[in-house]
Amino acid sequence: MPRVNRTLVFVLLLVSSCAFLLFQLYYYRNYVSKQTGLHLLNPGGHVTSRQVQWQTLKKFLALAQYFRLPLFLADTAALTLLSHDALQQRDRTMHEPHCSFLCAGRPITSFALQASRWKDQPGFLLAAEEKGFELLEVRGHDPRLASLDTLSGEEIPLHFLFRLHGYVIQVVLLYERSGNYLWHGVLRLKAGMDRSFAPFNLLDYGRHGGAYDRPELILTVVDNLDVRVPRNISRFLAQRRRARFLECRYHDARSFLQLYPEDSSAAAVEFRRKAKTLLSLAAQTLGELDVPFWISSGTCLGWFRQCSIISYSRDVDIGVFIADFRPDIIPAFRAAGLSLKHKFGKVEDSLELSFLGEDVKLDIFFFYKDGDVVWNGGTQAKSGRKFKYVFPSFSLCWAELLEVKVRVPCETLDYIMANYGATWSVPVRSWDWKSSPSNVIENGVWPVAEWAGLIQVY
Amino acid sequence: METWTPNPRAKPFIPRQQRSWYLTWKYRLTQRRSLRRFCQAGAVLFLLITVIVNIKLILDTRRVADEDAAAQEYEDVLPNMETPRRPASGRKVLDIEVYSSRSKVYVAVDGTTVLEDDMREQGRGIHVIVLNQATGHVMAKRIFDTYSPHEDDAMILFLNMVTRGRILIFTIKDEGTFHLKDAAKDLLKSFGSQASLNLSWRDMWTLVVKKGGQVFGEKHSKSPALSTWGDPVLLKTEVQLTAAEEAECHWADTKLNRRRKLFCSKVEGYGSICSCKDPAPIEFNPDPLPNNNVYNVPVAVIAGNRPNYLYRMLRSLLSAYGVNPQMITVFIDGYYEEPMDVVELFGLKGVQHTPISIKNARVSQHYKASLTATFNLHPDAGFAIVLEEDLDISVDFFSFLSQTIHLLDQDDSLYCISAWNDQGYEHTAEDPALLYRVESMPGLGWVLKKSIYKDELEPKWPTPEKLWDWDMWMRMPEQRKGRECIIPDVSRSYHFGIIGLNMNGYFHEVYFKKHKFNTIPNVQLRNVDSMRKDAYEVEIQKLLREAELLDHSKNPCEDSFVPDTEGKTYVMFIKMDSELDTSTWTELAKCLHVWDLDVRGYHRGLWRLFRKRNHVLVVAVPISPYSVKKPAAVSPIHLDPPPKEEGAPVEQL
Repeated sequence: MPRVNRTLVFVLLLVSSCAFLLFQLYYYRNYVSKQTGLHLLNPGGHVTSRQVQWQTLKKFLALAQYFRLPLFLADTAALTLLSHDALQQRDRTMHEPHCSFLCAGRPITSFALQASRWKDQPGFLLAAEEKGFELLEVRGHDPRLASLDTLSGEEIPLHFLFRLHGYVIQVVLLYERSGNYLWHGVLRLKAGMDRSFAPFNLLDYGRHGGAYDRPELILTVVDNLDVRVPRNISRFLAQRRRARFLECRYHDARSFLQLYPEDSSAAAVEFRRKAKTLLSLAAQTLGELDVPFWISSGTCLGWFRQCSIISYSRDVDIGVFIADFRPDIIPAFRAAGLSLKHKFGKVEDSLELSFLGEDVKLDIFFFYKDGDVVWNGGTQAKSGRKFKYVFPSFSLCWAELLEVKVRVPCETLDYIMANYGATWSVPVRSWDWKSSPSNVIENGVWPVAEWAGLIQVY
Repeated sequence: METWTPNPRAKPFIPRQQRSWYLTWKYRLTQRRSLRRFCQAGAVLFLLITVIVNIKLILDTRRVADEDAAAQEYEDVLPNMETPRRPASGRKVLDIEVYSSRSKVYVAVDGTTVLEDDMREQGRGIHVIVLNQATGHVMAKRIFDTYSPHEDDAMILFLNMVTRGRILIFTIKDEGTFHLKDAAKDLLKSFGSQASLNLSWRDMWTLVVKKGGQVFGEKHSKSPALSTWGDPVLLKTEVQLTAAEEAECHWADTKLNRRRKLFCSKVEGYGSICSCKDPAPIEFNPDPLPNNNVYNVPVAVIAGNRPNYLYRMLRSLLSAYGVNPQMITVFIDGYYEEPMDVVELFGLKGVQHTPISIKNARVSQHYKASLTATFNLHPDAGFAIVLEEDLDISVDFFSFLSQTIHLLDQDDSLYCISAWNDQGYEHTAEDPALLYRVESMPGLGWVLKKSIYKDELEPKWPTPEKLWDWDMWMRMPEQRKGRECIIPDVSRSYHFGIIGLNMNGYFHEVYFKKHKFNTIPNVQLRNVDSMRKDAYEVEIQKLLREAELLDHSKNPCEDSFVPDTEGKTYVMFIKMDSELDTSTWTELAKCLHVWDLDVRGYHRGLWRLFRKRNHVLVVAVPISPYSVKKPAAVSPIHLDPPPKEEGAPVEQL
């Protein structure tokens, strides 16, 4: 091979790789860095970018203050940093004098606002746009009207995203719902909306709807900015982790009720009233004890199928993980005016409590985890026979039933299908708890010697 | 990457003479092994970096792609169903077809039927359609039953309100000339109609005209005889559209005027709202109330498809002192556009309701949905103010409620607070500061307590298949449970609706037209706290003690029955043996010209009203507990219903 060729190849390779490299650098800067707001190729810019973010936040908060919008900080990263102890706080302040909490290395900061304080202020949005913020407003159906399915109003604002200098500020609107909680909607982009407006998967709020208690707010100074934060930050963060809210399937419920109209006899109306009272009493009592519960069996089916209580179900069923069992559940319910009707099983196995309020029964089933399934037990009082109801494991979501905020299994359909089979959507009036459920398994008999302790009927 | 290895088979290097300076150096450099190695290593390093950056790029692109996929989750699953409005496609001409006949009328614009009426026993008279001269959109549809009296006046009023330049389409169904007077015919002539002066009994007629401009077409067929109708006529014509700018006014560009502009481009018949020169206001800014206790109480306006009524109603509501527009929601029964346009004109919230069931049950279901939604939308509210679209609202409506609303919380024997006094006519109501307790539920502008609705009414609200009136149902003893409502002597609302489910012109004339309506702002109510259950009894006892006995030997229907005094309190006793024995009261109500269709507005068998500026207490003996106040010598007045006339006359066409 001639010598000249070799040099030529060498030079060509060099030039092309140079060109490649330059192109790639250009591409990288343009496409990747801009998207995430991370200035990887500009390590010196890291501090300045914090300053820019801080300036952005300052401008935004000043605007909110001017329009008297009581925004509060809802950003998980920032709140997590705030909830840590003060020593660390001083450390960080030493290192980065400016923006150590609010600019937690993320291009997004989230705030929340009670919708009743929003009152449709176009002035605020206009002013923000004048200050250079780009705005993305996400609207959605009003769930407070959707509950009737026959009403349609104007779509309500759910989320606002403000963008300046590549930083995004999310404002989540929290609406009052009739179960005495705050609700925010899912963030869904409509056709024609800018999909690259923000890194949506980094948002703290919007993947799912959420339900929150009304937080108590305090005004404080964070990074030299006046910011409202929840008084109990860790509680708020804990709520956020389990805030996912499922709207009832009102539309399907409506079709169901057209097929099988609701019983409007006086007895059914009366039962629904009593069931509602009992459910809200249970929610209140267990809420005070911090025992999470979900609606189970027929009550869950009623929610899922018809967004109501099944009028012939005769009782209210709830589930509690055995890990959350506390002995003071029984005295708490007694104090709330219910009487213990029976107690089956023991904490280690098939525990079940039944309370009576007015003449409607409240059944509390305790659920046991076993590998990738969960199960609860049943006991026949007269024979001591044991039954086991097996469900695929599930996580818990919030929902609203009869204007009470309750939890339901997020994988509601799987849960219902396990319990009622594929024909869950057809009402069955004669139901035998020992044989009808599709997930019931015979589980032996309690030893007769232990009956006295394990089968208590009052 | 392969490493660079020198060619082992290369020829050994032989230096040559006579080389250029450049080549000499090149060879010298290449000759030096170390330097060559260095270059080679540099190149390799360079290529390696290229590769690393490449890989990083690929990874990053991948991540971005992932993020995009993740962002997909944030996309609306439903495709956008709204298709863009059909572009005007540069067409400047509309094809219009108008048909007039005995049993059917229709109007088609560019092949789209905008009016079709072939229902029997309905839609008699002159149908009028107004089109926007720039877009061809239907801006108003009206029927004037000019077979009946006074409808032609309404038509003149309407036609005069239509902006100049709009396209008007007229067509007659069945009969439209019997009460079409000369004034209306002259107006039509002034529009350019050739036939209007000759229109007569059972003629068929169509006309397409631009107001204040050219006639696009007119057809008329005379009825050959009294008993027959004219032949159907079908008019086909073309209308030239004008430029959009010509059809619009040039108002200052404000937020309010943008709403106005939108409204005026869509609908017609709202008079000076759309006047170019001096448009009527759409924001009223009434004075706020000091200590307004109802500022945060939601207001539900129950509406149907009577947009002109809704317009009038909202105007009076938004002018009332202490109104909070943020709390107002208008619930429209059905997906009608024009009522929604009216709501948006005033910048209020509107909610549309898919109609359920028919007639009275439809209204009843609409009420239920509206009330439920109101408390859903305002979970913190303890009350809701319920209004209807055919009410005028008194300027001190909110002041009246603000002074009384605490009673609903404090007194469990109360069912509602209503702005309406069933017996409060111009000649029977006097004192705007006076309140009553009554055992009926008057409605027509009232306050509902959330707990009553949620705990009692909502769960057993009549289901769609029950064709009940919601208000009749609410008045039933099972619902009312002996509770009472607080009402003013002088009503704070005025019922102006003539068209309605249970309403017609005659009915309105007799029972609603002369109703007294308060126009004084900020009336300070008297003795509000004596409206509580026990305090009210004390009050009544005091009144009965003070009251002078009227002369029971006189005929209560005579004017002289109540002396010509002023400011005195009188008492009279009428016979009422049981709840069902209503004949005396009904006869009395008839001659007093108050509500006589059923027994309303009493408190424990006691009616309170004014005659000749004197307060008159009417006690039903013996069912009222106040009968004990009757002197033994006085026998209660007894009136018999007049004998029923045989074969009541039935109006026939």
